[in-house]
Formats: sequence, structure tokens, C-alpha cells
Amino acid sequence: MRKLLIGILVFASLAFVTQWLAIKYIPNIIYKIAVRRGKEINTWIHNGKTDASMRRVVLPNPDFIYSALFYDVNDKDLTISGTLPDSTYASVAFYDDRCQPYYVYNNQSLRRTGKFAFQLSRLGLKGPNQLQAKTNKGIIICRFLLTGDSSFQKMSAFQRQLFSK
Amino acid sequence: MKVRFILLGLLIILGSIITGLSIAALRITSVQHNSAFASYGSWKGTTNLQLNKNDLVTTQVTLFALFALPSYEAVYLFASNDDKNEVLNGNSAYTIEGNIHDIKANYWSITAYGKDLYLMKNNENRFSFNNNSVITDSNGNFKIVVSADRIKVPSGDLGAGTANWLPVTRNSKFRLVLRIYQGEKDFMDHLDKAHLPIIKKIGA
Repeated sequence: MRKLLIGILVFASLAFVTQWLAIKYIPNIIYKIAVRRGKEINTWIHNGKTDASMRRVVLPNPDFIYSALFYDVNDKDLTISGTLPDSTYASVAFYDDRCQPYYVYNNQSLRRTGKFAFQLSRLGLKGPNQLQAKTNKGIIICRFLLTGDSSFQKMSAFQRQLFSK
Repeated sequence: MKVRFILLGLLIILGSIITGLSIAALRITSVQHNSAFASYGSWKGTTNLQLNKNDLVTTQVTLFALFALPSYEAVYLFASNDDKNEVLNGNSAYTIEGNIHDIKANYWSITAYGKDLYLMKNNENRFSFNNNSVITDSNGNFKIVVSADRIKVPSGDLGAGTANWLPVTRNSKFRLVLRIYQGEKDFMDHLDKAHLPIIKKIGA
């Protein structure tokens, strides 16, 4: 009887820990899978129009065109720059190594010129354009809203202005 | 006796891992029952996404809305059912009725997704309508028709005939996502009282 109780206790405890670990660390696993699909680190990847053929990320917004950059600031800082168009919506968002956002800048927060230049570092630098990376590795995503069929070329030009060093 | 004891131990460990993973899968996929998400008519979501604070919500968002923005930037509301709480299915046709002035945001959109959460292929290459693309009457009222085939809405009705047609895949469940970007604070704070678009089955 005692052995049975111990067996049940061990079973329940292990099952509880397993489900807790699974829920806690699935975002880390998803990030690892996403990084494997990325071609280069610290380099912008530009996607074309978002349509039914885009099956890398669930729930893509067909109104946006996306640019993404897998960053790694372990060895050196990363500088990114670009311009967010003065359209209805555009943003640059920083995600940690659990795919969770921690900084978001949009065309309203940068509306004076729309231009941005950030130095992403693992250290807590205090300069005006210096950002501390929450995790040493992560993803930066730029979203550009298309306001009609004719705006694709215009927004693509903004994609090409994105720079990283 | 020793071998039997080791085998029993391994069986308990294996069984508990399988049970734990099954419980995790069940909890993660039960988004509809997560109290962190509120209902706004047919739409379900939250204006305060607890990313990195609530493990279950964080994992659910990572799996079902990867790279979502924080709530202060964008709010995502999901609909899997119509106003009668029946599951949305490409076998039937629906209308989404609303007024563009009722959604007080810089940009909003309604997008249709298949049950796999990807965009559904269609000849129109039409996957969404937003506050710029939806056709309205002079008062801002709109009616979007969601159906597998292009159908005519009754004459004199909104939607300029079939201009606001959002194609979906026949014989397949689908979901609608209402995205609200940079919503006005007062509107977002009282989303439960807002007049969000209503999803109705045609002929119901």
C-alpha cells in the first residue's frame, strides 16, 4: 500500500513538473526553430507581399510587408537604422529569445522625421539611441502598412533603406 | 525482482511524462477557456496581454499569434463563432456588420484565416478589409460578406453589391481576427461597451 502511494505521488509530481516545463519553455523552443529558418544573423531579411503562400509564421497580416533581423549581440553591438514612412502605420519591434516583444517604436513615436538609428547592446548604455538588449539573441521586426496596391513599391523602398552593422 | 522494480520505475517516469505533456497540450489549446481572454460579442481577446508575466498566455500567444505586438501597440481579437455562437464554417455565408467610426483607432483590419491559422488561398487574393479598404455608405456603415462563393447581398444593402467580399475555403472551419492598432485610450479602456462588428450567418 505504501509503495503504491509513493508510486502515485512520484507519477503526479513528475506529470506536474513536465506540464509546467512544457508550458514555460515552448516559447524558447519556437525561437530556436525560427532562428534555424533565418539565413543570416544581424542582416535584414525582406519579405514581399503577404499572401497565402507565406507559411513561416502563423497569422500573417496581409496588409503589411515585413522585414526581419535575427540579432546576436554576444560579441559586439548592433547598429540598425532606417526610416518609418509617414503612413497610417509602421513600426520596428524588438523581440527577445522567447519571441516576446520588449521595445516597440512606431511612426508616431518617431514622427518628427520617421528616421531611426539604434545601437543595440547587451550592456546598459545610457545614450539617447542606445538600447539594452533584453536577451543577447532575438529578433527585430519592421512592419510597413500597405495602403493600396500602388503603395507596395513605395514601402519596398523603405524596406531597402533598412541598414544594419 | 530488481529488473521488475526498474521496469516499473521506468514505466512510471514515461507515463508521467506523457501525461504531463498531454495536460500541457490540453491547457495550451484551451484558449477559449482561458480567463485571461475576455469576450466582446463574438470576439475574444484582451487589451492587457500578459506576455512574459503569465506563462500559459505567453505560450498560447507564441503558438497561435507568433510575434504579436504588446497591447499598448495592438490588440488582437479572435472570432471562431458567429453571433449565435455557431462555429464559423465555409459551408455557410456570413456578414460582418459595423461602422468604421465605432472603432476608434489609427488602423484596424479584419482578416480571415483557415483552421491552420494561415491565410486561405483564393482567386481574388483578398484576405482582409481594413479602415482604408472597406467600402461604406455615407454614414460609415459597412457590411462585409464572408463566403466561399461570391454572393449578392440583398439590393439596397450595404457593401456596394459584392465589393466587400472576403473569400473563405469551402467545407472548412475558419477564424476571423480583428486587429486594432493604436486604439484611442478611452475606446480601448471601454472595449466591452464598444460597438464592435457583428458576425451574422446569412439566412439564419
